[in-house]
Amino acid sequence: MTSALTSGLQLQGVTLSVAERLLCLELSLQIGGGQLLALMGPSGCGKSTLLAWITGTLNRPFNARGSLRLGGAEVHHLPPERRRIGLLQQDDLLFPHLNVHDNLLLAVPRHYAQSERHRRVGQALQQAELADMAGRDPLTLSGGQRARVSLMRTLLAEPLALLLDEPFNRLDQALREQMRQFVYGHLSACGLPTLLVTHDPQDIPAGATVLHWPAVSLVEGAPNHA
Amino acid sequence: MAAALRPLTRRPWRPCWQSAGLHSLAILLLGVPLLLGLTGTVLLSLGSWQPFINSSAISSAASSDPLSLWQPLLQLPALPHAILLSLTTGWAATLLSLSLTLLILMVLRSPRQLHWLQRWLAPILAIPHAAMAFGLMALLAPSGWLLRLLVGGRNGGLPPDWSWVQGSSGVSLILALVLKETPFLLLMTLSALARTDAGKRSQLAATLGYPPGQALLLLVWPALYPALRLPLLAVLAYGLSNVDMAAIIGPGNPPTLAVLIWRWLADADVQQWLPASAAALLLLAMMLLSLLVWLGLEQGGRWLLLRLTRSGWRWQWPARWHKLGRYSASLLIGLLVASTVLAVLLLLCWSFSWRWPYPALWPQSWTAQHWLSLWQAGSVLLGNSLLLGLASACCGLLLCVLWLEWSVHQQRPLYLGIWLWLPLLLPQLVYAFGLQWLLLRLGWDGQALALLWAHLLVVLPYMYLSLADSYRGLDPRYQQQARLLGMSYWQALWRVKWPILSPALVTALAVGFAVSNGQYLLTLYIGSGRFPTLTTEAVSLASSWDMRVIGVYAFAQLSLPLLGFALALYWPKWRYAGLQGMQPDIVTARHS
Repeated sequence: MTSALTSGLQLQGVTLSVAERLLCLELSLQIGGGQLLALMGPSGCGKSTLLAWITGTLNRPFNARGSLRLGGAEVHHLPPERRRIGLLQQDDLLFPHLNVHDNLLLAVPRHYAQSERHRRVGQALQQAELADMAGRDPLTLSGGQRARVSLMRTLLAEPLALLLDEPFNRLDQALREQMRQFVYGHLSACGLPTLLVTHDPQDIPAGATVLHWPAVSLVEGAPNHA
Repeated sequence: MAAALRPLTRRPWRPCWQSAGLHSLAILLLGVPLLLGLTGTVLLSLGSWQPFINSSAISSAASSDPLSLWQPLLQLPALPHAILLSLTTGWAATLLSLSLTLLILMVLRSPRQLHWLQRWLAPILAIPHAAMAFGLMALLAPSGWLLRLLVGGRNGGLPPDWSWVQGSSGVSLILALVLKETPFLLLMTLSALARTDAGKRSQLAATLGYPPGQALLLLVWPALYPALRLPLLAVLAYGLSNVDMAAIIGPGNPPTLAVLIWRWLADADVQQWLPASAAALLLLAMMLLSLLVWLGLEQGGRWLLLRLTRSGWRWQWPARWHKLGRYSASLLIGLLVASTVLAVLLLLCWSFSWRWPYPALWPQSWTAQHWLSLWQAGSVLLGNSLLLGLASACCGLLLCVLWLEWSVHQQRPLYLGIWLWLPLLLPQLVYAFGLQWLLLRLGWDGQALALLWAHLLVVLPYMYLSLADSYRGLDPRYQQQARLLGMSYWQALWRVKWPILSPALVTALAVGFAVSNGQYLLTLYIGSGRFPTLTTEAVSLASSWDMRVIGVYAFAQLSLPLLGFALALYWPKWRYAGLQGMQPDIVTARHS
């Protein structure tokens, strides 16, 4: 329990609002290392706002309060780049001015030697079965390949927690199942605390804890433990 | 609940402070020089400060009744005609350009055609006004190429006795303005089209039984017009008050009001500055009046469109008419492009010709002598043009990016609108001249920094226009991802956002460079003639009529901005070779 606590993602008393509208009140939750919490709810209810707050990229019209702990340390006062939280969205958001290899290289932390950084990129490409795609323009890859590169990029930055924002939404039905297996296979190997936001119950892997968003925000002050 | 919310409403200071800072910067950079220039012109026209004018008669007259200084101007016999000429040429050119733009849009509707159009418009737009006017002269003058082709030697080897170019009617000036302004309006319309749901609207109209042309007018136009109002007014302002085109291809005697003022100001007699400044104010009044009339027309047009829309009437054009419309529009576009291309080619031919007498369609002998002499005598001009263009484009880019990047963080988008457009809506003569006079009094005339600032007045709006859509349109999640991958705010800008935007940034640089290169009045007055550029030199040749020298200067003048655009177009192809997402073709195709 203690190890899960210190390595996990912990939200405490999070209140979000925009103008006069309250999105969530005193939300608390905790995700241990290797655990996955699925947050479900209709679109527009504030799930994405919560993710933006967790990553530290919440924009001005929104107001927020609460504390965020990651691996035992408070991070909610840190800028996004120092929180070490990865975010996977429905679009792959590969940078169009870089090829596949450079997109991945950009994410590898700079404290490694250059040769080590390249080695890690090569390894990631192999894991994604894209070893021969290193020099390709990301736009020329298929949707599934791009999604895999995107996951690899997020993981190469060595996050301490991972957020998935409807990550399979843009993929077609056949590809979706494949991609779910790929993503969850990799995640279970990483042992990261993961928060999944979705409206599709099929996205949720077996063994995950499920929370329904309105239930979360309406239970005032009641902490929800994962 | 209220208690829980109270601590949430925080952080009110930063945005306010930033927004105020941005506005003050805009006002300081753009508004203050304009207002100072305007004040200078007013003061001068009232004769209240005249350090250079030692005539005691004027001083005493001014002290008794400042308006008496206006008497000589108002009694000038050429004045009514000059005013009328300015109004007719300005208005006719604006309305014709607008109709032509609409006609072209009604006929060319497929994205492929529009994309093609957009590609060809940019280089045409880069041609400076003066060079275009000279090129048209070479094409249309009585001894011009068109009449050589049509009349040839049938008139006893003499040019026909036509005087419609530079004739009193101003037709040639209107034509030149239309040729130069239609591409601008078209480009503005196309970029506005990309921002509206024009495709869906026309589709909807088609299902309701409206033919495409009518759909454009009734359903698409009302959505486009707000984005076109200021560009149209800028075109009108330029038409009413331009000097560089009117001095070259406009009526000679009497000329337009702007040219009249320009001639007075060029006079060695400083006393001519008084009527000149008064006439400049008259020009301003004409512009304001035109603005009011325009707004009235706008209301009338809106009412008419609403009536038409409500009536539910469908124009059932016979297919034959539709075909006819398509052909005539294609013909018009062809003429537009052909005359522009011919004008440029003729300038090139003239610049290399040694002997090219009247009925010959081709120079009889060639020489590079004129170009060599430009190289010897004109390196200063070339250097000034280049340096001034580069400096103002770089400063302009810096300011535009500063504004755009900061305004991204604003809750409400920054409203720079009127400050940006003011330098384009006010006749340049009005503020350029007053500003020169004030600088002269302060002893800052002819300073490179003042000239750079003056160029920025006009360079900034065009650069901002060219950049704003792409900058604001970039998906903010790219930057967000960059931050989450471990980059700081500045690293994310430097390594992700700006590189992705670099094709647009480079294009904005080319736009700024071209606009700065084309400036005539500001360079002449604010630079006090100490910074001659290719443009000032070319316009000053207007009265010389050695087409060979003109050809050299005009072609040199237009090749600089064209070179800039070519570089901007090819830069991403070279820098981001093999990356589709970075090619401007793709970017424009995605928009249209």
